[in-house]
Amino acid sequence: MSYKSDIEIARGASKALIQDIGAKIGIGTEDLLPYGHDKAKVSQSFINSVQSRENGKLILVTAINPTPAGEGKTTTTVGLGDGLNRIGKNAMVCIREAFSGAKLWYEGWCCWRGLCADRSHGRHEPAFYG
Amino acid sequence: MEDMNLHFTGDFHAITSAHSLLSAMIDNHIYWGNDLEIDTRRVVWRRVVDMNDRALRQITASLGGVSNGFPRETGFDITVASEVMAILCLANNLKDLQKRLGDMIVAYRRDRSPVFARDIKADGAMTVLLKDAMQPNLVQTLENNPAFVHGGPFANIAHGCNSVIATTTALKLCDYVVTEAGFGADLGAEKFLNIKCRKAGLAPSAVVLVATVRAMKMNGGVAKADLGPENVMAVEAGCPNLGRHIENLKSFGVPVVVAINHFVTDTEAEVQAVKDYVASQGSEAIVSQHWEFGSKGSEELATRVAEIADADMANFSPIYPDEMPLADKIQTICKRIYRADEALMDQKIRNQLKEWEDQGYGHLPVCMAKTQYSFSTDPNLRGAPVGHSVPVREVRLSAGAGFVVVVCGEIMTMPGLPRKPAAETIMLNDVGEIEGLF
Repeated sequence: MSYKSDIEIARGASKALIQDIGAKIGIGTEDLLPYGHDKAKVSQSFINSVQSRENGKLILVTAINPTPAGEGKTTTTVGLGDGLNRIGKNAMVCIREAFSGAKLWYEGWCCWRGLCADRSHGRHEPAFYG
Repeated sequence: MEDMNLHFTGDFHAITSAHSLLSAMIDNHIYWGNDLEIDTRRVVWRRVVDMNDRALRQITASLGGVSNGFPRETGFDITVASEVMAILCLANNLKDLQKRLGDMIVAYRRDRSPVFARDIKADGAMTVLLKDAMQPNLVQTLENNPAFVHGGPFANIAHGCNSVIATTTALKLCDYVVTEAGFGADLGAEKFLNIKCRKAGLAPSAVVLVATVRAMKMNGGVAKADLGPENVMAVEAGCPNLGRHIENLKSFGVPVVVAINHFVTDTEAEVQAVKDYVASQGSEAIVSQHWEFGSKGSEELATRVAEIADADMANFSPIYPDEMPLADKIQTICKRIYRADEALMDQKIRNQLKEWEDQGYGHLPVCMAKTQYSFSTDPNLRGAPVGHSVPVREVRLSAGAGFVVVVCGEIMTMPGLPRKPAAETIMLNDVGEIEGLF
């Protein structure tokens, strides 16, 4: 069985406008500062305006000691976020820039890792996101 | 996708700019008469660039004569290693950001008294440069669900979590927020719980501990090349690593669920072996097949995690109080998390910690910089080692970020490129698409 690479998946899937994504969690167009059509910063004034709200539940994803076999922490973080949405929960994920290797549009491998990964050791496992 | 690999929303560039402004202002201050009496041999603020460039690890700056200043040794780190990155990720708001930037120690005088970024008067302009970078970036997952991707501090000399502002904002917008911490639970979760949660007043409702059958096998002594065939005994032999993480996480008062991140090569017997082991530790393990099937594959995990979070079973508290002396905080982590007999600290290190306590930094948490591959300081020692000790080589004060870095091994803050960098095969094709990213 063959699997698509991360970039093939990301390029092949259908992207929503970032305004529609913002609307899902109650961020209006006026509070999104778009960078292109598919990503945006959230305005400071919006952040200030929600401070009195109740907090949701925080779930931490962590892992065993890393091995070269890979554990998939970021992939699981995103998978769990999508799973919660699938069962009708209002959920989102928060991850780092740079070190992620998630099944996001903006799949991980930050600037320096993307540019600098050691090709002599091959790419990451065919059955794994990293 | 390419954007995230490359420039994204420019946060890293903003951090590099803010960091570089301070670097330039320090040498400029010295050039124009050095009113602060900075000892040029003791400027601890290095420079940063967002590129793996080993040639810059150690440099001599200000060469070339009188008009270029006073030559001194310094060096470059990669941007994510900047204290500015750690601060951006721990600041609660812009005011807090500026205060923390001002609190950074950039140099010492001949009498060893610290010179702060505030003394250089750089904190205001740095905050301006970072104003937009402080705003979380909203993106979407493959299934069009919202995600904040914001901040990326090193997980060794810093705490390795996304920004506090992204997490706290997400908590105001959603019923459930899923976040992660760098490296394994001994480093990443420990720092998330003892540093980030403490500083931001956060308390997780549940912790998901990710394990794979393959990693259990490696912990059980199987080489990477031999991971293919079924090997239940190796899985069982590797499970104590998982067991120790479960026990450690529970000691923070948080409920733990193990997620077995499923690989298509895993056999049923191997998966069952992990499940049985986890059950014997009083926890439960759930297989998640999100890699292969997306959210359909993580539905069971999501359902259970939501149930646990909703049950309010957590009674979270960090494993050491603010007022504990710094050396004792280090011992606490080494003994309770790494299960070492002790942390070894020579007199010089103990004196340094004492000096910082006298200067009012004793309440800070400690940020361990140690190999992520083992509970011990030996990266080859997998499983659940006992009887080891943790030698502390060096301690560093990140006064702005607000932690004491405890260096217990080789720490690389400026990586190099490999023999064959991926950059060699990255290019634009005839239709303008990027090739060579993966």
